[in-house]
Amino acid sequence: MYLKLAWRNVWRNRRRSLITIASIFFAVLFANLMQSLQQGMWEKALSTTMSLSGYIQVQDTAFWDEPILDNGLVVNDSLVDQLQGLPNISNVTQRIQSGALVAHDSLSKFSLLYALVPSDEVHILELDKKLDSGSLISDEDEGILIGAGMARYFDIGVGDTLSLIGQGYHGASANGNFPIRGVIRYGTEQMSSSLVVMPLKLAQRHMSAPGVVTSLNVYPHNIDKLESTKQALGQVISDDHIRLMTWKEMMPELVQAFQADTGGNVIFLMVLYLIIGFGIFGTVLMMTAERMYEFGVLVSVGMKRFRLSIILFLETILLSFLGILAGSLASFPVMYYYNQNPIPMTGGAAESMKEYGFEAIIQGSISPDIFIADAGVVLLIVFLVNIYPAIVISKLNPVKAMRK
Amino acid sequence: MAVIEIKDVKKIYYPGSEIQVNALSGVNLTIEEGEFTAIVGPSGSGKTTLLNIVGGLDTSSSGSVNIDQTDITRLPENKLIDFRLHHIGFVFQAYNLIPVLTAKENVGFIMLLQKRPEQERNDRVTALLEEVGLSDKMDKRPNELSGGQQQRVAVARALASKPRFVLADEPTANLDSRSTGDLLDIMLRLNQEEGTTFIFSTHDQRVIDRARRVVTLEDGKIVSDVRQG
Ligand SMILES: Nc1ncnc2c1ncn2[C@@H]1O[C@H](COP(=O)(O)OP(=O)(O)OP(=O)(O)O)[C@@H](O)[C@H]1O
Ligand SMILES: [Mg+2]
Repeated sequence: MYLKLAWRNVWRNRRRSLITIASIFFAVLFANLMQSLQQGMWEKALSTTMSLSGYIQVQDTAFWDEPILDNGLVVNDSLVDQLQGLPNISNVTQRIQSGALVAHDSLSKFSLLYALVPSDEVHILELDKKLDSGSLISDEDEGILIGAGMARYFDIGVGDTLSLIGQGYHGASANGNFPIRGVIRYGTEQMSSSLVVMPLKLAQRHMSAPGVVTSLNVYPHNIDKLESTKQALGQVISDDHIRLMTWKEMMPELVQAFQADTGGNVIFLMVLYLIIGFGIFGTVLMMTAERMYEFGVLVSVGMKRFRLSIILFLETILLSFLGILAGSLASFPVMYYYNQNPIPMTGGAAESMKEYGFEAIIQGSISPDIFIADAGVVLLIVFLVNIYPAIVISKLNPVKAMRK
Repeated sequence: MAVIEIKDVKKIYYPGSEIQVNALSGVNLTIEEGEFTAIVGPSGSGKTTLLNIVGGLDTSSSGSVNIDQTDITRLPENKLIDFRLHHIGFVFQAYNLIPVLTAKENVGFIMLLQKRPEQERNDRVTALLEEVGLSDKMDKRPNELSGGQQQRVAVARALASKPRFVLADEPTANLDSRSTGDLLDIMLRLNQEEGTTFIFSTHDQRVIDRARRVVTLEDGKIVSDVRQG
């Protein structure tokens, strides 16, 4: 009955209610879309970065301070399989990441060597999509992939040979010539000009380091459960010489950049919510003011003030609910569209994205968090706004309210 | 048996100031069960003030109002609301009804507040609307009813809670003479057949003529109290 009463009261002034609902609708729509694009951009940026580093890395304790092969881990497949079997683990990949000098003819330059198991990583790094020319490498391959920038620097391509001169494991030297199987476009210009990708087995042989990796990279299914996943891994590994690091620990500057970027939006959102807040408040103010006589009658005949406040509260809840529902329903298809069809970025923004090694696209996020957060904020506003009529009703003097 | 005993009730606005108003200056009045009392007097004589104090809507400056042995001037606000709900029926001059509820719902609402079971509510609401001659208007909203019909619904609502008495401040002030007559017929019938106690204020001589007891106020004092008819 209270709900029925509230519902009818909402439609008492149809036009005003529609305007209020529309204002909530647009605010929710804008907030959802903005957050979708921003969150989507970060989701994309993070997943690009994380594809290279993993969300959690398993390292030797010495490796973080001195990232050289001698500080690597000796792993066997059964450990990797065991970790792989833990809950929330999508992939555990083995990597050697190291520096080496590369040379061709009379030119040489420093390179970043990524040794990995191609069959495990092609889909994680999306190497197939990034192949510029030639072919990808297999697990047993004797050849390498290089970045497009490096190919340009040496003016070489598929079929040419590159010399790698570096340090092997425990003092061994690691020199060799490797045929180039493919050229890939990967990451920033700087990255692209120094990238060498090699099958792990080949690298371990080349560096005289059988079974050695510099890190195990862990990719969870649900990236929001990083800490619990890290703990689960730690229980399997429990070794004083091994350290587990999440990406937040490895890349605090990325976390800061994320916070700085979303911080700006928080202000925008606050303004938006403030506008909704005042919109709803205005409506509530009018709903209250024009019905003082009626409230006076209701309190006179014996209605508790508290119940009267509940009805007004229900009225605003209904109004907001309709606005939130409409806004969410309208924003979802748009968010979904930009999720499926990312917007390419242009100009300076695109350049700076590329500089960070991110793809210059904005892909809409369809994370349910966005809807829940917006609905939550609007409901909070409703609660706050309803303090006013609750106070008015608690102070209402029926005799005065009914004097015309 | 006395339903209401008003003892030395005073109402002073702005006491001690230059513009002090003695709206009621020592009213003593006892209302017996089943009486049909009109409170009359010139404008500003204190009729509304008296009815509001008796109904627990306004506070008195001094004196006591006993309703069935309860001094309502001593009840705290939250108890007073409940007291009104269960013991007093109200009919105001106009705009008594909730605009978004039908006649039936308006009458039933009061019983809903009393947490009466649905079956009892429906039966009583139907019976009351029949009694005030609005069986065919049960599902109409107030704005689809005439002023007189609205006041009849208000009377039905006032009775729905089975109160000890009904207070009505100028219930016919906004009605034409025919509607006034109809409303008074209904009130009188309820008084005679059901024994409902009514106290109402009025300026209308035709209404005064039909009252069983007429209490006249002047400057906040009772100047005459006559039983007639
Ligand atoms: N809230 C108030 N503040 C100050 N004075 C008031 C207030 N309410 C009523 N009064 C005064 O108290 C006196 C009695 O008023 P009341 O409304 O009871 O008269 P009434 O008999 O109902 O008059 P009417 O026939 O015009 O309705 C009047 O002098 C009025 O001006
Ligand atoms: Mg009056």
